[in-house]
Amino acid sequence: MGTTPNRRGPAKKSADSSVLFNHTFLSKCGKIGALIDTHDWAKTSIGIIEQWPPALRVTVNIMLQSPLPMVLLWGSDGVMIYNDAYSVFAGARHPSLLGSKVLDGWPEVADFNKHVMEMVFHKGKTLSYHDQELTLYRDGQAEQVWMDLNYSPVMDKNGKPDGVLAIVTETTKRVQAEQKQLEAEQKLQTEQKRLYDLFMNAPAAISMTTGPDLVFTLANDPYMQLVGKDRQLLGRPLVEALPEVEPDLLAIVKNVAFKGERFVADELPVTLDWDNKGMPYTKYLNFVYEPIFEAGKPDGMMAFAFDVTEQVKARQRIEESEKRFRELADTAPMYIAMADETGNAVYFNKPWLEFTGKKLEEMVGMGWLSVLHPADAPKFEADFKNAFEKQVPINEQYRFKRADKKYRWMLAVGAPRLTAKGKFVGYYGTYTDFHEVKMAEREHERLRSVTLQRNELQRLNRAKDEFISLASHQLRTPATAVKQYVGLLMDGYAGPLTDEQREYLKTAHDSNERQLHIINDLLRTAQLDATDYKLRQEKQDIVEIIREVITDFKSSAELKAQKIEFHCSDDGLQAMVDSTEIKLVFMNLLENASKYSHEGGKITVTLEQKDDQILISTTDQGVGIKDVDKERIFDKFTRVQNELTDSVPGTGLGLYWVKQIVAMHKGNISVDSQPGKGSTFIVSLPL
Amino acid sequence: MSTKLSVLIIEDEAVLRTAYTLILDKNGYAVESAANGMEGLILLKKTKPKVVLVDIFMPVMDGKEFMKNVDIELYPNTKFIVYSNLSDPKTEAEMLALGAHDFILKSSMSPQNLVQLIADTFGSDAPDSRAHD
Repeated sequence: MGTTPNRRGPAKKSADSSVLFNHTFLSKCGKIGALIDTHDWAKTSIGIIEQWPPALRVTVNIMLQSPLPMVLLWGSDGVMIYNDAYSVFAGARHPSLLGSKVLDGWPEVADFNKHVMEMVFHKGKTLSYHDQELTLYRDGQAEQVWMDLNYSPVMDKNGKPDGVLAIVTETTKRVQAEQKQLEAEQKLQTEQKRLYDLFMNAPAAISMTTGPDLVFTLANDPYMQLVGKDRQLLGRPLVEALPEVEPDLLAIVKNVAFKGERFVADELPVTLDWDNKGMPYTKYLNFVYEPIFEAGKPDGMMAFAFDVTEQVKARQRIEESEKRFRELADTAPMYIAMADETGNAVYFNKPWLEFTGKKLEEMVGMGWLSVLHPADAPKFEADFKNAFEKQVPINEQYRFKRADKKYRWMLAVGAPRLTAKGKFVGYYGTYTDFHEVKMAEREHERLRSVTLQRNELQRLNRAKDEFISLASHQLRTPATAVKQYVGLLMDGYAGPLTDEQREYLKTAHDSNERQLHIINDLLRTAQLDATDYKLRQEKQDIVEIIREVITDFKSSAELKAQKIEFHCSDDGLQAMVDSTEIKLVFMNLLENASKYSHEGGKITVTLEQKDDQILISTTDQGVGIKDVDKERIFDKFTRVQNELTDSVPGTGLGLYWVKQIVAMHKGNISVDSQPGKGSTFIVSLPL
Repeated sequence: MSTKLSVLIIEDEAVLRTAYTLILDKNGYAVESAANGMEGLILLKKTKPKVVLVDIFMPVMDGKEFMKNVDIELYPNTKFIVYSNLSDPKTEAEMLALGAHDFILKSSMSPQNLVQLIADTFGSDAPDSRAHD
């Protein structure tokens, strides 16, 4: 028999021990109260409400009054009775959850609830969980739910648990919010760390100072290196950490940090001596000071310093190099010029400008062409055009006009200019004034040519002499043969001769004699010219020799009615002579004296000693010798023209021999003459 | 009859050899001729002439070599006359040292000179016969 709901009135009292309680403890308990009231508890292990034990009823009543989500698990089955607040927690499971067993009601957390029942129901302990996370399917889908759980046993009058009271406060929202917060914070932290790492590892020196005191909040390693590794920066105010900023730098910094004005400085030299070696060194830095804004107002600054030392140093090196080049170029003892890749002159060193007497502006571009010799211009143009096209060195000679308007020969050596990457950018040219050398070269060339000519002439001369010698040799035998046969005829060996025959033979004989004479002369000359002709000199009485010659000559002189006189002051003079040759010499001189004089006349021979020389002179009263011929008469094959030349035989060799022989005796011969009056030949011989 | 006085002419130029042989022959001498020193040595041994006219410059064996090769002592009655184209005192001295009796210049020697020279060399033994009058 069931009880009807909402039945009010006093409960029937019965005689049996089972007291039927009324449902008043469920009244005024809202919706859930009504639900509990009408639930068919007979189906559960709890039984009908009327038979609920007081503990149960009290607990339910309390529960229903509480705003906290509570659920009572009654009996070993853990049959669930819960309040409104819990029904919200239960989600879609309410109201089916009411009256069901806990393990059935929440199957997804059965293990958890088993544990709870074990600890609390069977052992009577209390359990408390804070932010316990369980996956529930209360709305049909898996849900991560966090809750605070408090379990306490509900005792019977014997102190044995009859049920478990659980206060379930869902903390999901809070937990999730907290998690989100944490995530956000972590993200923020990660970001911050990344930023920090970035700053710390940046290839620039970076520092951050914030706040009115400009406290260091960030300083990366490069920055630390910049200001000194040992310094404490972080957390300290700028002026304290880096006192040297006062006063100038501080003013700038304040401007940036508090007035929000950006500051940039390029290539500032900063002298550091923070390496342990103690040697100061200079770095070049580009500085950027950026203001930091806090709520729209400048409140600090980030300092960036970029090391541009390498670029600056490289540029300085180039500048230094250029400067050195110019200094070198200006002091070099040569003329240096440079042209760009189009062929325009771009540089002339000081010596060049001094040489031309022009200013640099006048010379660059194509201006310098005015100092190039016009005759050399076409060649220059061609040479340089060719060189530029092929980018090869040039080595040529041109004339350039000096300041004094004179042209000088220059040796031009040009080399192509290439950048480090091999790009062609023009030419270097060095010019050396080698005018004197060029002139000497030309002179040398001229002399060489002259020498060659002279050598050729000498060769021809020798060839001529050799020919004459050879011809003479060849002519001698036949001439001698003629002499023999003409002689045979003339001496009658072939029979008596008519007068006419005799006359003709005489002519032939005379001619032949002349032939032989000439041939002998020629051969004797060749002999004399031969370098190995030696005299046989002996100490002789020179006076005696002369007397002998005069004696031998007398007979032929008489043929021309010529008289010879010999004057000698020093008798018995001795000289080192080859008597044969000396005799020939004077014989020759006397013959000439006779030949070149008309019939009659006197030939005078004088011999005297003068200092360490013996002077022998022959004087005639003949036709004389012109001044222009005085040198020539001693030449080979030379007969000078005078009135007797054509009628007097001669080979032109006589005086040549005389001169050679006298010279071989280390003596000298000279001539004194007046045309028409006569000549005197003076021979001097050493004692 | 007296045997003709023998003369040996040693001369490489054929035309001159013929001329000198002719001249001496016409003057009554028995003439032998050789073209060089080698031939000369052979003829010297064979004919044992009284006078030898020897040229200096000859092929095969020249005058100097000839004189060197002649054993002078074997020919005590022979007169050696050296004749040459060049008057070279050095050669002249050398030849005289080698046993030559005289040294003359060829080109200055006319037939008359030659005959005179040979006659002078022979001295009183010279033949009288002359071809002309």
